[in-house]
Amino acid sequence: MWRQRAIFLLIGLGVGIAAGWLFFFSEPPTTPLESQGALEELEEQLQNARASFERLQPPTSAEENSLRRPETLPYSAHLEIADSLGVEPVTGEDDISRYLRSGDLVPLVENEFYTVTVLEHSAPFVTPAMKALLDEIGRRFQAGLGEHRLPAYRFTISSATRTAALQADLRAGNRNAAPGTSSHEYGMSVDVVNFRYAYAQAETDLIDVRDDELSERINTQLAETYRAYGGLYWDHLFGLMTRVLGGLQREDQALVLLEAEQPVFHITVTQ
Amino acid sequence: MRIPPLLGFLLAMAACATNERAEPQPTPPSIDDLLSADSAPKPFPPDAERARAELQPTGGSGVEGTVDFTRLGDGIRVVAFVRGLDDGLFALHIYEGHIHEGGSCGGHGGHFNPSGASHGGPESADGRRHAGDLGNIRSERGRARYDRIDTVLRMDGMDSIVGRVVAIHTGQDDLNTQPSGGSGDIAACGIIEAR
Repeated sequence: MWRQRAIFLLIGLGVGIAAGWLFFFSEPPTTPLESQGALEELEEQLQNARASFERLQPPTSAEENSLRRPETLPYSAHLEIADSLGVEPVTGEDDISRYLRSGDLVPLVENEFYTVTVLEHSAPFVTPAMKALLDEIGRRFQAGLGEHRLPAYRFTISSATRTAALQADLRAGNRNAAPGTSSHEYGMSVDVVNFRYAYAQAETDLIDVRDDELSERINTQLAETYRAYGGLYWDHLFGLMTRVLGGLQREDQALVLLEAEQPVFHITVTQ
Repeated sequence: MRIPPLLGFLLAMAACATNERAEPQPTPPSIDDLLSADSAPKPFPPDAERARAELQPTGGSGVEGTVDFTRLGDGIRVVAFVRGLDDGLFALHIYEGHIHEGGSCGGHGGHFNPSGASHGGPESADGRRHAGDLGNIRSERGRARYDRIDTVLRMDGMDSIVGRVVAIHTGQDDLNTQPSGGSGDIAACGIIEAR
């Protein structure tokens, strides 16, 4: 009899310990409150981003004009610098292959700082100095965004090195293209679109939601909205880029010309 | 022949030991697999440094050209020249299809998509494009050029693009409509062959 009682006592003790363990150490189940909390966090982050974008000012007239003619140096200055520091003008694919082997040109591939569009009148290569400048532009641009508590965005490169044939082809179809040799033929210049900025999704942007399905939905919504903000607030991002490039020009690291006919910054590395 | 018990035990142990070390063997193809081999991937050519597709017009479109693929570091440079298109933007895609008898690029399947992603464009964020989504090529004055280094495409291993079909469409890829971008019929296509 006492043996049966002891067994029941032990079973009861085990069940009690297990229940206590579950109560104290298991994760609480997802509740509607958690879902509501995640939605509130999403709205708060987006509201903060909107406010931060509003504080990130578009360029002032003075800032913008400092990169336009006549206040900034003319195109001929870009050509002069490129001619003195760049590779010999690239005549065709054979030159590109040769310069790639010698290390005078390097591939221009999208990275955490920028994207590269499909190139129609140029080839995706630049000098190592231009590549280093592009990375520096990206670092400063994203640091500026970070100071405003904004997520990272990448800028967009729309033109890189042109062969003589590509430059001639561009000129045939575009009367605004510079006559004669272009600074793009030396691997020292790129064009950066002034209105296109791509959200660079980062782990640190993610909202931590316990429920996997809800997490996917919330974070997809967050990323989609940040992507849309890149277009909605393009002029604010343009303002930051104008200030970054103005700073690099004042430091004699780059020549920058905000073109009148095309919505691009024409940038030539000077070191 | 009767095997002595001790010898049988030792043979069984040896067989078990061998099986533990061996890699899992792939399941041999069934008869159904072999009968439907026409739509199955063909054996891959060796890893390629360079490959080219000669685009041939379909349905009398008059569109033709070349698409060159060159391995460059971690990316693949894609250079396309196309003639015969009207002015505008036209979708350029790589399809999962492989070489067919007679060199035809018919029966090309869907966009090449080894990661199971949704349709997008070449500048879409990671995981938001098919590998074969090359975006659009712009034609001006009857000629179009496309030059880009792509970090998603591969020319080695199971996800190689070599042997697959590249095609240019009669319309623009909106980079959004699933699963093909709403880009219309195929105007020209060719098979990517190692050079």
